Amino acid sequence: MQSVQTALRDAKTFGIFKFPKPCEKCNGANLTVQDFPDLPPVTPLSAADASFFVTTLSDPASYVLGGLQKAMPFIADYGLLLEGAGERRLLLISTYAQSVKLITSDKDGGVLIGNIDPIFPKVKERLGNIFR
Amino acid sequence: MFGKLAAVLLVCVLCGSGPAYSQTLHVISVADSNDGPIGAGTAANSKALQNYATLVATLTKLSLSFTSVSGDKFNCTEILKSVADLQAKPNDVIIFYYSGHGFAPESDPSRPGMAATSQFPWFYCNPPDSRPNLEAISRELKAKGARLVITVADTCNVILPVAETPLAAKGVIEERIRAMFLNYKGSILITSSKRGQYSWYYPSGGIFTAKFFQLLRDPPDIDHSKLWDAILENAREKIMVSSPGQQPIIQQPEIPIPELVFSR
Repeated sequence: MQSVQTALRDAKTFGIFKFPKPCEKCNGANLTVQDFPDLPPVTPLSAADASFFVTTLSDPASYVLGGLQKAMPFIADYGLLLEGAGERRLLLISTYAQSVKLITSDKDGGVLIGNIDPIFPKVKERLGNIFR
Repeated sequence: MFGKLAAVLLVCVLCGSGPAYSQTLHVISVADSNDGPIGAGTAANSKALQNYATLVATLTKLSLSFTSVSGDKFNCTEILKSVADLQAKPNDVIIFYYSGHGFAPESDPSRPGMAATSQFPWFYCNPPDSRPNLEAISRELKAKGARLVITVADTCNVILPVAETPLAAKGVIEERIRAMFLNYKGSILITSSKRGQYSWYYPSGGIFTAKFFQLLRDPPDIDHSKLWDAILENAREKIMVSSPGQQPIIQQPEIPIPELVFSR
């Protein structure tokens, strides 16, 4: 959770992409940004959309907390490309699992899975508007 | 000659009317214990199952055969092999328990392009083209001819963080557990959430599994012929998954009316 907040806070530019087909590889453990050499086309986020993702995904109330996890594989269909402070990070989004996963250059640097069920309808609507 | 024949007949009679300890409780415990988010929870499920199976074997004098598919062995091939390799006798009891990721595909993985017909989940294991379906596993186990088959999955299709209930020392509860595993014939199929719902885990185990084993360890005070009905009716109730500061999430197990026959 803290690492997601840090990644969003440190980012200077925000891009978004959609996987052409569900990303099964994204369920893997110990992934790094080096595991994603060929990202789908990345669209720069508008200031309003960037603000939406930073605000909602930095808020602890957006996540299911208390150590709860789903028995559901993390198959991503979208991702945010966060660049800044000399580092590139990916915040993968799975609309199937209603969760996010942070990928950094350090295989131990990412969080496992953040379940965004409380805000998922808003996130899905925003993604729908961006990729309309 | 007559003496030899009598001896053979005596052995056959003893085999045929064998006491409970000549029967086997086969348990297959599948746990994706190496998984990052839920590995610890699935391992806890498997431990709870092993403890319960040991208790049942002790109370019923059933011989316990426990097969674990977990850690580096967790894959579709090993799961299917553990089911295929199981050999049961007519009075045996089989418990299959899956703890891991699951999903409900739009089309049947084994029949591309055909809509998935099962309301029960598929297991998320590799290789992808041999991912098993819970209902198909249940059918295969029923075909083994055992007296009682219980097939359960705690997977997505939500864990009450409760401590394992110690078995009351009262002989009456032990008697109910004996009845559950010695006096019933048929099959039970259970998955921890309805199609379209998530199943939730704490590091201490699956929320459904914690509730289910609490029910199995403390069967209700009811006529023995209604024990499984009562347990499953309770297990079928909605589970409210609480997250700090948020509305509870609902997980409702899918448990069809079982095909069971009770005999005293």
